Amino acid sequence: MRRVLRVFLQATFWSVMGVGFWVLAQTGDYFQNYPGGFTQATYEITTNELENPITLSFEIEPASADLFTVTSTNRVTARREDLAMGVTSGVAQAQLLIQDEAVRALLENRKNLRPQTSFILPSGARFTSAERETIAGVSVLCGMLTKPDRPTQRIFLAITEDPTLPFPPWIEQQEERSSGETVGSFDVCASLLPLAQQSGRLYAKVFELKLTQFEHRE
Amino acid sequence: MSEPSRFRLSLDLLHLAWGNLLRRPMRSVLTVVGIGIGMTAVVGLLGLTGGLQRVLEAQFQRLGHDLVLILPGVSRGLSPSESMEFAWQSLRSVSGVAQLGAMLRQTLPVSTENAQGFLIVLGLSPETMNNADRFFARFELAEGRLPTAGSQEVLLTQRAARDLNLHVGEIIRVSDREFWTSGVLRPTGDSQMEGAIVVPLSEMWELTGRVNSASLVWVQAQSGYDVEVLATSLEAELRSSSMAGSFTVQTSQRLANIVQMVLGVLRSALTGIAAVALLVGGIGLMNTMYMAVLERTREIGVLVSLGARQSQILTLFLMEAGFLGLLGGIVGVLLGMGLATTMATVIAQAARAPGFAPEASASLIGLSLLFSMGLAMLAGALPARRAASLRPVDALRYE
Repeated sequence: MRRVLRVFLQATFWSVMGVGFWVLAQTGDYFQNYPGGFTQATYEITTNELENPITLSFEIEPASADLFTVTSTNRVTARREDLAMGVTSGVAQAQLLIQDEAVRALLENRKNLRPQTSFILPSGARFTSAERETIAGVSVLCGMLTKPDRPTQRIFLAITEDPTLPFPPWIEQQEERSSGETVGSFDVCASLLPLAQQSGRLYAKVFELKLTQFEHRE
Repeated sequence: MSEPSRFRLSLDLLHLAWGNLLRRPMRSVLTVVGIGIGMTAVVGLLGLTGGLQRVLEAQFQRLGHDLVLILPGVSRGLSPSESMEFAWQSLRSVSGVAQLGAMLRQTLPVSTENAQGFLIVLGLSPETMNNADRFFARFELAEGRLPTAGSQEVLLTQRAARDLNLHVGEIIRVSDREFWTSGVLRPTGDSQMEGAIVVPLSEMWELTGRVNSASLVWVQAQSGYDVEVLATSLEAELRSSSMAGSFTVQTSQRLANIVQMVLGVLRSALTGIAAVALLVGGIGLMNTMYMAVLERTREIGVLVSLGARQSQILTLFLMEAGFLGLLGGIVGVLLGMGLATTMATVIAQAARAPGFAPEASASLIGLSLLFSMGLAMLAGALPARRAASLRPVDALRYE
């Protein structure tokens, strides 16, 4: 019985690791237009599944002509039963969010975005932009994404034109609640606050990814 | 014994079996629930996989089995941002090619007087436009006409027309170029398609600057020509060009086989789960029947003393088991259909596939009821045999 249990746990562990590596491998797509040079960035990821935020850091160093050395770390203090989630959860959720067709459409056309404008997106989604702001030294355009097939959900995004980042500098996903917690503090993208409060409904943050440190040099 | 009296005897046995079940109503109900849960799993899962198979078969039926599909990338399939460049003439010259078409898919900035945004724009070659019903679930004009190559025209899906508040004859800007709306489609029922804008492929190449590119190229084999041979020839032609390694060649038949294989595995796994539930229900029924035999040992002794034959005692208990199985089957069919319909609704909403519905054929219902009754009679066979083999003297003495 113990042997069966051990084999099962090992299989589960390697499956989770496999999925994690696959998910991490997918983020490689976002460096297709990497301009070169040295990049160091740190994201803080808060999810409902883990008590503490995850710190995701990566560093890209030029090695030779067209080769780069990448170092990445995923740091979180989690309970024993949450260890697997600590490895994959944050990046996987961020990956899922940016794989969404409406978000992809925004990211693919980020050069055409303007402040204080409403944009129609695939599947009837809508992105309403607020103002340009700065997060960890990166210039971003803040906005809110809503989708007709997810009426109780809204996603706040800070989109940058900088091609050196794998994820937008800020993503916050909120779910409507009948009572309890109210909207986030908007310590970044404060220009979104009027838009966030417009509906008069209560929302709770279920996921946040925020760029906390960024450096890029040629 | 004459025929009418045998019929009468059968009716008496049926009546007696039904009465015996009503003597212990709670136990009978619990046994029926046990069988019913197993049958719910069987009917629900078979209904769902049957529905899935029907939808997929319809799609492949529509696509046909004479196509070779060429996709960019090694194994990723049709990705919104992936495309590949082709030497069209060399592909057309491959032996066995009847016709060839392509589509290019990309999100582009669009704007009208009242709205702006970024929508999926589908560039379709004239051949694809003419064969659109093979590639899209519904490609029917609600008003207007299809756009023609070189005419700066677009075709809108119903959702795009609504979101942009645009009508036939009005102007839309796509990537800063003006187009006339030539027509509007009826709702397509395809989540990948609905909300998109359709333009001729040649216009799309100009809009994106990706001349001779496609997100999908399809090649139809000449009538009677082996599709696999054509696929091999096309692959060889592509490899001889500069495209080596950056494309995947599939045939519609191969894709259909893969889907059938996946469905088979899924069906086996689900059948295994349902079998466990049925086994538990069957054991519960066997236990109920053994208890019934023990409780009614003296009654069996009296019946045998009065002239009842072994076969009649056996039939009586098998009928009781059959009744329980039939009732369990009815419960299972009703709950299973309800479960399958609910799950299909959830899946259809999540996958944005409005056409997805569970299979609810008369054969599925009839076979499920027969199977449930047969399984129950099988589970009740041992207890019934035990009852039939009791010696009247021992049975009458039983306390």
